[in-house]
Amino acid sequence: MNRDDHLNNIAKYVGRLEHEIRALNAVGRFDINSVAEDFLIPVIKLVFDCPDLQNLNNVRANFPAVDLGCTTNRIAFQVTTDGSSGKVEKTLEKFHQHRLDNTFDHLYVVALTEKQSSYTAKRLELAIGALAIPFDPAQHIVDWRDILARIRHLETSKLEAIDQYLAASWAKRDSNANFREQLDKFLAFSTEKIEVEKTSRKYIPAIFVETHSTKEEMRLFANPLFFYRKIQDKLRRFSYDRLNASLRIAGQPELVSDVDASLLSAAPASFAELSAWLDRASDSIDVELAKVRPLSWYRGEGEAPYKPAAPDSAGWMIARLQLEGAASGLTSRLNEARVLIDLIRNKIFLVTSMAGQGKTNFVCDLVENQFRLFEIPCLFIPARQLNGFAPGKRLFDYIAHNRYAPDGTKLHDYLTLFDQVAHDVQKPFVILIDGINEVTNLTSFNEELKAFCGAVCQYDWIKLVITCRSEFFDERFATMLNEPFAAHIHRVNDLRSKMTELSKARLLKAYLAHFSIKGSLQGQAKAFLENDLLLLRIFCERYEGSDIGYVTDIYKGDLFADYLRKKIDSFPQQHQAKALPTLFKIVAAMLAADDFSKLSVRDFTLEEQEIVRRFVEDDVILRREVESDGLAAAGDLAISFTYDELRDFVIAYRLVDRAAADQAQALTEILARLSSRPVYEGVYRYAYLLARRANNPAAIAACENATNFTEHFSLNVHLLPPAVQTSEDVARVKAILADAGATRRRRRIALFLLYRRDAAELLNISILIDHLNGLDEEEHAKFIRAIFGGHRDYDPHAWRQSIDELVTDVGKDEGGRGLVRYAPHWLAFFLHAAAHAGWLERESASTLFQEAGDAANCVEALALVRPAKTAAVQTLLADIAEPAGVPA
Amino acid sequence: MTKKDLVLPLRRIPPLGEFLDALQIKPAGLAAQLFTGVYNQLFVWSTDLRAQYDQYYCVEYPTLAAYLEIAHEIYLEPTELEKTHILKIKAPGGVLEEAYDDNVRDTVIDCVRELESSYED
Repeated sequence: MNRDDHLNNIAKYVGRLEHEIRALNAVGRFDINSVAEDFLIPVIKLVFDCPDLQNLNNVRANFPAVDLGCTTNRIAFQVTTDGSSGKVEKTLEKFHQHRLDNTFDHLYVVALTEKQSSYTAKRLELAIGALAIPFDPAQHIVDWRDILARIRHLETSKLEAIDQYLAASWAKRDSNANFREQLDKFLAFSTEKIEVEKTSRKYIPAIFVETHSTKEEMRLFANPLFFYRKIQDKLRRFSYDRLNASLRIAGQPELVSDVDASLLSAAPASFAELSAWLDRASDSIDVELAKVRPLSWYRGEGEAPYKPAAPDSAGWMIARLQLEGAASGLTSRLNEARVLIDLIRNKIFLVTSMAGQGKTNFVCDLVENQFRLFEIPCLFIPARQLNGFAPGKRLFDYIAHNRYAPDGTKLHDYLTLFDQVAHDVQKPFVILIDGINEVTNLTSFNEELKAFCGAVCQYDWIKLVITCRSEFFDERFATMLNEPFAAHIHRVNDLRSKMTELSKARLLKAYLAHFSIKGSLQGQAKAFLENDLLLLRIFCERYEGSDIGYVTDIYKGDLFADYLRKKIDSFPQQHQAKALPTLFKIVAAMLAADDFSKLSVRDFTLEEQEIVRRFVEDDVILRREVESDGLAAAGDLAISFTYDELRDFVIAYRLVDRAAADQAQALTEILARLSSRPVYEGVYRYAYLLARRANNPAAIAACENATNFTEHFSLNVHLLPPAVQTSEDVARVKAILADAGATRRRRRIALFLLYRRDAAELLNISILIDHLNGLDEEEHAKFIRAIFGGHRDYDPHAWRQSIDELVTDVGKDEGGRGLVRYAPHWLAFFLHAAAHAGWLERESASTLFQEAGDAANCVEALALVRPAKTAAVQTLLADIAEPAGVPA
Repeated sequence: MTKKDLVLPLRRIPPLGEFLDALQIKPAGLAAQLFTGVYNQLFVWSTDLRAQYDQYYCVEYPTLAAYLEIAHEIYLEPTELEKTHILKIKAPGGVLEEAYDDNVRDTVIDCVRELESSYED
């Protein structure tokens, strides 16, 4: 390119700049002028030969009179779109007033649009006359034409440099403008990631359980211009009325609120206005806290405690407690308002919680149902996807790896854009990084993440949401809390949400609907699944898309076996055969190491590691654990089973499998070795169950010969499916019922039988009824007492009260159904229990049966109980047969 | 929502005088002072979840019922959802505290319901 080419290009770029500045100023966007100051520095440096030119506002905020300055060559520039005499005159006056002639010998006013044809105003002449440096309007007030004229005289190398600079800058600006236009497409990348989380079932919207308090905090953090009103609500409800009533009784001066009414009615419309409003609100809270806190229970936290004028006065003594209570309530309200202000000002929202508490669900729900609906710009980064990028710049590369991302060479290129986007829409730009514990090489990522947080915190309205499993955060990322940006972190330590019974029922229904499972869950099955979300997940994945019919019990052994089979079937063909042996290898290694909470798979083959990785990806069977520290752990993967019972099942499965292969002795030895370990109960349970299912005599014998077999039998009998129940089991159950010395075991078996209503099963409620019928007076009372009493009861009559409550509950007329809704065997048990109720309740029970008349279930129940030996039951039966007031 | 919280769906917030009158309490006595506190708990310091929904949450939750169920675990009948105010009183204390044997929670709630019925009639 020759000189003319460079000159033509420069003229074209300068013309475009002048046009854009005019256009933006025409619509009131004068903020472009401050951008232009920085933009012009490289050009002015060359044109006016001032190599150390810098933006003086970067040296000192609100630098007076001039914008740019080069202290080496002592030249200063005021850059303005207003080229009027008045503006120049003010610049000169301020220059003089601040004695800038001590620093600069030359002053230029750069008019970004067009300067006047002449500057002859008297006041300007006076200002020029007052200056200690020479100033000639014709020479020192310059516009684009003057600058272009100076450029024409520059040497070619400088022309080339200016041309290249302007070309690159406009290209970047075009790219950025293009990016802003494509922002929606750029951000849609995040939406796609949410869809991936849905497909992989890490996020299931239908079964999401909201953590309302944390979500509420997020609203202030991520959408402050909408939710700042929550602070107003708190301040609006702040009143000294109640406190003053107590102060009057105490004979103390009343308090007057100084909360400004304008603070409560203000409606900040921009970030700048909001920041100013938050400052005012914060100051106002400080003022009120200083008044009320000394009177409250929090008086040790700030100011000196309140000292009443007459502490021994009757009024103070009477009102003091009430007064402190009211003051404490007000102090709490102010502190809560302060927390909301801090939430808005915080830059990082850190969620650390145990595995399985729904961190991914939480952030995905935020993106889908909070950020999307409020149009909050956000970038969602599933941290495990960072593993595909080079360590050290994973986050930068992830952001750049988007076809709609603008060209950027450094992180700040993107962050600057995100901040601009935030200012454009007046909503923070939120970057969510979910599950930082899923990144490999946590130590190096910790450093990268800290650098990223440090960079983000330099921008006013970019915010970060980070989630991490607690144990990983404590072990690998805790140093983040020592960084300067730690003051801007809001940390949530627990995402658990307590659910009411109604919500549990809603969740169960939603799960079944999401997995397209038809049928009905009742009794124990329903209770099991409602109270164990992981088991519910396993159940739903196992029965997805099927009709389960009417289910009253969950046989976990069968469920685990079917689930594992289904999961393994979903693996690529080449890995299927090795999947179960790999799980066996894991449990064998755990048994060998006697460590069931963590295992390194370093010594596994590549294929086995790939299978482990697939299991870990799902997070239902296996999950990642924190690796050991130090060099030796580099590149290692530590794992554990997500669900302890599933681990115990796999251990048991392997042991029984080996027992079938003539290695029963190994099962005996391992059961003996594990007997004092926490895993024993689970391993024994499933070993016995699987041995019974497989009808493996050697394994059954190994289990039944184990120490304390009867106790284990009573604990696990409910898991024996009907198909494997035998007459030996019936004999064992009867023996336990007859053993008055083992009260808790007897109670356990009685309650187990009480809910077994299916007569087709060998172990059913009729065993319990027959047993009760056979007991004499004393034994019967003792047995019923054992069932209804708790071993922690201090009140010796508590068991009788429980029976009374049962009778009262049964007596409640639920839609006029009375006793009709109960099965005959259960009613038979009810009669046995009611025979020991209080007089009034016994009468109620009797009346219930009389009113039921000849209802088939009641007639059958009475027939079932008729053989009872005990007089208490026979008396009740007689009462039922002979209505009150009718002589026998 | 915890078991201790109280939810009152109402068409209208009764004035204090009407509330005390329904409880057969004379306005100037000690009982009036005590039950003004109860009134405040129920109608002044409580949170109107319908108002909250309209002001803050209608963007995020498609219906008031969804907001109440998902965010507060409150399940109301359709007729209750139509009420003008859905007041949530967090763990009412004082004479409404259920832990005290001689609390008047049920009496007060019955009274509020009667006022509501008479208004609806």
